[in-house]
Amino acid sequence: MLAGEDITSLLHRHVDGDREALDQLIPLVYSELHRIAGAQLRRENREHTLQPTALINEAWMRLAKGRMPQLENRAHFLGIAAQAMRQILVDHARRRKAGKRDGGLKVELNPGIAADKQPDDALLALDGALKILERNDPGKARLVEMRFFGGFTAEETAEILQLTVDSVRGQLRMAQAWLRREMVNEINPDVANPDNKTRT
Amino acid sequence: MEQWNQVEELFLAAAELAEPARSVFLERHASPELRREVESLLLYDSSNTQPFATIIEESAVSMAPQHRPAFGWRYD
Repeated sequence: MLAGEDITSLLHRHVDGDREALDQLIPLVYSELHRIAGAQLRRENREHTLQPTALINEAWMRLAKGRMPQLENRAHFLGIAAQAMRQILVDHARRRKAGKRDGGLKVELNPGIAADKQPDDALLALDGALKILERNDPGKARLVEMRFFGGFTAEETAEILQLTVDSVRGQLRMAQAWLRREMVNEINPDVANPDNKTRT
Repeated sequence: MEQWNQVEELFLAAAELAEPARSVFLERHASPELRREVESLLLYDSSNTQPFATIIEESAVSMAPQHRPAFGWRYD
């Protein structure tokens, strides 16, 4: 485990545009989030529900070791944590699919979800579409991560990123429509583009 | 990038309009190419499709041990 000053200096380097700092931060935040989520899921409270935002805040408290973080650092951290949450879910979906192909029993399926509604394919398609969006418009991809993987409300996202709520809502609306079309297009190109025109 | 921004602007404005005002708006403000793009995106606008968040939420819930909700996402 790194000391508090290490994560703060990594965040500083990331803010200054150091790509390597991000490569170190993501796995650090990933493992911390994973550890906290795992510990909470092992508790015997059947009603217990994890809030991604609560997980992220707890990870921040632990990693920053109680130091008073600069606001700018915190915003960057929350964005990175939302990215790590996305990675946790995507990795889980990939592992489970691999397990199924092996005929293995590595992960217990939730019987509450019907077999034809397994969300893994949809999640992986969303992840693939997000990767394309990242290249076209990285800002929107980050917003989608904050909102949907980090669990932050539109208002919280606006506050963290210092945008107006209207801007966040508008950008998310556009991003979602684009992503949905991209996901459908991946599965069935003729449905997504009936006139067979190239997408923007 | 400029076209991407134009598409977003037209999409958001058109999304607030009902037909026939939407068609009139796009006829007036968009080239045929932009209009096709915007209309294609409008088919996938939030009011027309399954909640986007469901995908992520179902995936998260299925991570949990049996019968136990894993994550509680808040969406407005």
